[in-house]
Amino acid sequence: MKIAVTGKGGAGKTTVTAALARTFARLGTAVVAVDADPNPNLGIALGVGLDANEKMEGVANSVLRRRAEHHHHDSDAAAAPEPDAEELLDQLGYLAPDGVRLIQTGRIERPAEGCLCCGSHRATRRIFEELSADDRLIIADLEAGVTDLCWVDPKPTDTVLIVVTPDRNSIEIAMRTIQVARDLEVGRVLVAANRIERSGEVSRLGELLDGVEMVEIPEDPAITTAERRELSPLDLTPASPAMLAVHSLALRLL
Amino acid sequence: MTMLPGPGDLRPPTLKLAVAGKGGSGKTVLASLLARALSERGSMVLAVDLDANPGLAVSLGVLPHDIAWPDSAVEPRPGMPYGWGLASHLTAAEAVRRYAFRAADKVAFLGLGNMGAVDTPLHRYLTAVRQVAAEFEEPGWVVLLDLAGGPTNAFEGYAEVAARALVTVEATPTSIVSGRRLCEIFASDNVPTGVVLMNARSQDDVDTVRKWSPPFAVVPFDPEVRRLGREGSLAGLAADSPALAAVRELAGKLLGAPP
Repeated sequence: MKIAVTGKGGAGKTTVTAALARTFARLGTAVVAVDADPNPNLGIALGVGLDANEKMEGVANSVLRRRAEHHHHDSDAAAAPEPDAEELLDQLGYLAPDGVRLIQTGRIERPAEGCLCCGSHRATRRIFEELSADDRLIIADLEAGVTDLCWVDPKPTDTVLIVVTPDRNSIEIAMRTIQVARDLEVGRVLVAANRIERSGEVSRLGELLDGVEMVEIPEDPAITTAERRELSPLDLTPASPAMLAVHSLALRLL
Repeated sequence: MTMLPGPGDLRPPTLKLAVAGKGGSGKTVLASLLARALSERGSMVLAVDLDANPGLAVSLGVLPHDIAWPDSAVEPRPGMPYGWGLASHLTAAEAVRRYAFRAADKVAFLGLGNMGAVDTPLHRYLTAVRQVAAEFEEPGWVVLLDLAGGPTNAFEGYAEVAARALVTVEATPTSIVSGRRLCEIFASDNVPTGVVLMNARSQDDVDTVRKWSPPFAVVPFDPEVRRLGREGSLAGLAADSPALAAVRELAGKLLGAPP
């Protein structure tokens, strides 16, 4: 299975992606977690630590660096072989807790020219598309907002998980994302209603995001506590209300 | 509205500011409160939203359908980013006069348009909006650029026109590391930065951020901002809001001592 996780910045995409990835792994599934955000924090949420997360090399840089090195040794740079997605995962994949393999596709150094489509966006699309999901689960934490989903271009066999809080701006983005996912003919769209304090919030979300499968994750101070200590809530408080909700979400997705 | 300065105009030159930060760090709250505080001090404000997700519009009380540009405002411009730019018959001031939406008495809003579907050609407007931000020079005006969450806009040089980039952070390790990455990009573009701690709940929060960088401004957590944020527009925020008081102080600092 391939899951693309999306939503407004600050809605909890990275926290939910990391907790889901490790929960799937604990349930016995091999998991590849793709950090597609150019502001890459998935490693921190998985519990690899701030320093290890900052030292990782992203796919885009790796490809560019190889090309430059190849160019250095061989005048015909165009012939530089580009490694396939599995090779990139072997070389750049970082072993995170519970055996989750983490790869960063969003991290970039400054692009030489105006846009990022040739760097991080292309890397994300390649890794998400080319990595085989036979006997393995691929889960990608996308850049905030709607546009990154278009770059990833998920297929009818894929799942899009939209993380939404009961804030007006977050709901607005979720509504647009649902439309985009339908336009892209994604197989399954699921909404994680995050940071829920009152049951009325869920029913309001249900009305606004009409007809979309929804799972509720309650507001949980344990998440903030873990984040402030640079730890995964699964290491600190694995049975906290939000983590139990992520467990049910994982079972629902499987 | 009169925008062209007369002879002997004593109004201050255009001040351009960028607001950047991790998604959810309070970037849009800061931009909308700053627009209000600057206009209270007599500035005309052009709030420019570079985010395809129109959070700033909602916070300023602008409805999504008010943001749209007509097709005639842009034209193919080979060589420009995304191949499109502002139509050649338009100056920046004219584009603002025609297409910016009056969000309040002294606040005009210019956005990208709506990312309603896969094939919405928003990229056509990105360069045009950027051109307006770069070329708009009207005395007495402040141009506030609200960058999309995360580093993409910063990488693409959207803050280069700004005299200062305000980087919003919250007092968590992830938020601080995200802010640090942004400050590094701005430093490489020689754009001075000011770190704004948002949602500060205690002196501990201030100290946590100070260990990395002394904050340029501290905006306290304000339950009313959070409550209104859930509904959308911050226009109804009471005049005695502690968050607004902190942003007013920041506005004074920005207008009084331009970098």
